[in-house]
Amino acid sequence: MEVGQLQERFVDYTKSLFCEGFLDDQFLQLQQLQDESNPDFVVEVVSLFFEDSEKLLNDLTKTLDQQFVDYKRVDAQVHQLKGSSSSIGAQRVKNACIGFRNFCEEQNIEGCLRCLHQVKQEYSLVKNKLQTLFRLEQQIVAAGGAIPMVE
Amino acid sequence: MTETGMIKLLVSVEDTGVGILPEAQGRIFMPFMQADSSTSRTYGGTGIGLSISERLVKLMHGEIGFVSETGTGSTFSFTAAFIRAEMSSLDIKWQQQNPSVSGFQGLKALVVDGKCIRAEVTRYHLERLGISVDITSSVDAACSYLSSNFRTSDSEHLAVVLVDEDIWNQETGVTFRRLLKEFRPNGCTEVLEVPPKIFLIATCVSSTERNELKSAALVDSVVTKPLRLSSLICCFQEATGIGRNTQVTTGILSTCGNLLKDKKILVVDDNDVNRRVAQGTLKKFGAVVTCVESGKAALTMLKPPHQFDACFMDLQMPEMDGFEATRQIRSVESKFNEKIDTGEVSNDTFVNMAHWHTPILAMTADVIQSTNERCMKCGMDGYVSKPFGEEQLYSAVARFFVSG
Repeated sequence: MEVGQLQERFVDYTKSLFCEGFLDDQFLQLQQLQDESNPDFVVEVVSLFFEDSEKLLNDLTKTLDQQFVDYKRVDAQVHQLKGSSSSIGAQRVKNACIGFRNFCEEQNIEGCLRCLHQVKQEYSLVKNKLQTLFRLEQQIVAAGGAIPMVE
Repeated sequence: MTETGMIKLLVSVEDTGVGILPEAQGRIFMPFMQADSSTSRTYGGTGIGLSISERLVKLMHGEIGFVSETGTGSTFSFTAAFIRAEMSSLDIKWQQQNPSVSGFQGLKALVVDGKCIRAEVTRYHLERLGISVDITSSVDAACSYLSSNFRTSDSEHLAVVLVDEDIWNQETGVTFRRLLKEFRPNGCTEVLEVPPKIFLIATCVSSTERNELKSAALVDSVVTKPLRLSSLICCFQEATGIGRNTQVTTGILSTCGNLLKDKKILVVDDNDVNRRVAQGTLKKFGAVVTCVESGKAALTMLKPPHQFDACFMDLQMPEMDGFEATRQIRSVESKFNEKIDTGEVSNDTFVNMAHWHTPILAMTADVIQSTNERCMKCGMDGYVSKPFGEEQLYSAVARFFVSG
């Protein structure tokens, strides 16, 4: 596929991610921080986010599986996830965390388990989308083109 | 204008939303209160927007109020006092940054929208680009406009028809396409080589829908609502080929200079993603950034004497949180300052630092006022809310570093 088409696809895909609420303005901020002195900034930060989140989600599953659930610990972990998803602009993950914390406060185990499921889903979706986005970028670069800026 | 030379403005925002029930009208300005319990589920939000607005308006020496009718909508109004601006206004600066804009002079656009106020807003945006605008409020009116070989002056050229999604459907699309192909301005005998383009104005179109529309050749582009100048410029550039190569540059870096350049900043956050983002943002301004993971580590790094010009401290950390870390840092600093005063420690070793007070700014996701008070109480100098953009970061730190 030629560069122009790849670039158009990239722009459309990026716009759809914003439109559907997967990403918010903070992601744009990240892209703006990428330059010649920091050429892989976005991929770096997003990869950190993936590593972090997977650890947190595994931990959360274990913590909620205990007979006596340590809600303080759950809350602290969800807070972490909320913070990092917010920092990269993963809006839907962040929003899922907000509801989660309410159930922690109420010490409502069913609510928490439902939220965990939802957060995992949103995380999985955004991970998928971002990986697709990065693949598109790689294809453009491989075809000799420049990555277009998306408003 | 008031006696003090201030100008009082009245701003009204009218909507056609669901309105606010009379019973709820008394409480919507209270923090964390929404009209009713379903509001958050349906629309999101946490209920602090209006109380924040009220405080802001009070700070701006004004008042805020509203009128509302369920099923019709609400009109919120506020007054505020402003000083008269300088002649070198924003608009002029903006136009200087956008040379491509002058390329749109002489173009004409037709806006097809049943909601007249919304159509006027669209007209305003387009006129800012130098494009003249005609409005029709229905498909029929638009069709007669297009098929009546409408007389435009020789200097005006119908480039685009913008149709709002509320009016648009496949049939309309097909009809417009056909009419535009046959469009002959000024009663000429020949059809335009490049017929006017069709833009759909819509709130949200997925990329598949967008591609379908484009491949069916029903629209040339989709402009998303709410309208933004930069995306309008993009669409028009694409459609008309004018100014394609001009880069629109914005950004605070060019105007705000090098206040943070080479300054040594300490970032304290237990979350590695947040650390990395804060570091990236500060580096963009030329700062030299060191990151640590905990309050304890921050204490070690900020024990005088040290080389840091400022510190960004996350508030919620395990073991030692931002408040405690700052308290301890201030305590260590004041003990050290005493030693300097009593001559126990010589201050010329430290480049004349007679009084240690490292600027510490809190980074927090918590916007409640009590956090700000807590920050001040334990000795912090300010805060930024997470995640912070370049501008917020910059304005928080700038007051600590004098330019020059």
